[in-house]
Amino acid sequence: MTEINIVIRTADQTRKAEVTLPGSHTGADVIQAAVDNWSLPRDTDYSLVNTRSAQPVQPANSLEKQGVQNGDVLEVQPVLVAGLS
Amino acid sequence: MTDRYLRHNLIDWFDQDLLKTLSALVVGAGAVGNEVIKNLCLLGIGTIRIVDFDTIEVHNLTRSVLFTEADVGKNKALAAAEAAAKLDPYCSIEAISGDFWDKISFAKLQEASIVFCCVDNFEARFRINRMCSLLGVDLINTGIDSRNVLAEIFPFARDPDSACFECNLPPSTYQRVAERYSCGWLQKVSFEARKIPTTAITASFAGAMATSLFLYSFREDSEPGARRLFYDTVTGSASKVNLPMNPACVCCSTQSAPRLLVRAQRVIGQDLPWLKSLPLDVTVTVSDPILVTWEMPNCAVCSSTAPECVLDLASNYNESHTICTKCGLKQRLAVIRDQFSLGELVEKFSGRPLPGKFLCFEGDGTQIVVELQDGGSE
Ligand SMILES: [Zn+2]
Repeated sequence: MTEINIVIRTADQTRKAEVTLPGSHTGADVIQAAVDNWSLPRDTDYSLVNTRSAQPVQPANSLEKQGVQNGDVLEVQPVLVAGLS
Repeated sequence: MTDRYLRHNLIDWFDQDLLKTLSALVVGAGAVGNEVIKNLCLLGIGTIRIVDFDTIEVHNLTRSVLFTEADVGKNKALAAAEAAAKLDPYCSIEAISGDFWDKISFAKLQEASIVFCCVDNFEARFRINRMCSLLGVDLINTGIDSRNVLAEIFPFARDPDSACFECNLPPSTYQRVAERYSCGWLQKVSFEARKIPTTAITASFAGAMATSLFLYSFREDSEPGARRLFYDTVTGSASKVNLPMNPACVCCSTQSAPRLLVRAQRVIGQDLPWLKSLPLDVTVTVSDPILVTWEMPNCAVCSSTAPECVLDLASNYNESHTICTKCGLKQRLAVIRDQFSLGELVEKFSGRPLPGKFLCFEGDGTQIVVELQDGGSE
């Protein structure tokens, strides 16, 4: 099984972790781990962004299938829904 | 009037004449909508159409640049239009009090050069996105919280293969939307939407980023494709994300080209000439969930009686309507669907109005989209 070394961080960059993960892990696995380990608000949705390629990492697909490479920085961004009131 | 734009004329890429020919539809005249409208007016756009069903509350005033204490209780679109007209008397401004889905026809949407989505919930975003992607009108979506800002452009007019708003949404979003409903897509009576705090700072950043995406989209060196700008107003960190089209997208997978848009009266069998030429087994998909019948499968008293035919928008009902009107006790089962065979519609519901904004079906390799209209209206 291929393993990849990546950095995961929050959008405000106050949380950052260098991790080694199996390439078979999905985007959703990474988001879930970030929410669990950093106690991010659970009433918010998050998307994952590869800052090197400026592409979103799809939750349902594996990191390796989406071209995530060693040294990539994946950012967990909240999906923002407010704006009206 | 020309003096008004003297400084804009000094910017080599700023095409004031082009801007004067453009028309923006701003959906949602709250905090971000106010900022977008203000910017569009000051930039000197030709036309702004503003739509909002909501009224101004006093707590809106800390984030809404166009509203004053005297506006509390007024419709947001009307009050925003009134204030905007003072910012630029040369801008043509129309306010529409009501819901986007009910008030904006296909024709009205197609008149827009750009749609700004400044609403506060996913369901409204789904609908606006669906209409813009279906009709090929550029869309800019915005979102804020108390520190973060996002603005996304979906250039449907220039790029028919552009990603849509739903292409890159996490599945958890749909689960969150589903929490508003009990099984069967009836609204929960007790559901209270989460209140997300926002500030004038994030609202003004969102308005600036959204308007900038619009303004720069007309430059020759403008980037193609859908993209998202994300900004943290506290740390100043920003990111740009290119948004790819997702073939499995809930919205995009239901749309196919070539597409034919037509209008028809919503009464089934009356003014639907296209019905007659189609095979009866063709599947018709309606844009809105329809409450077709109430059934009582588990009631000893009522289960033998025929299901009560409703054929109305499911959104007009909630959990409280599941109490049986006959026995008053048992829970009724709501049969909610958005797909019908043509034969079923003609056979069971002839002469009745088919609710919903539009319907779609496939015919001879073409996606036919029928905008449903009430008798005599536009
Ligand atoms: Zn899509």
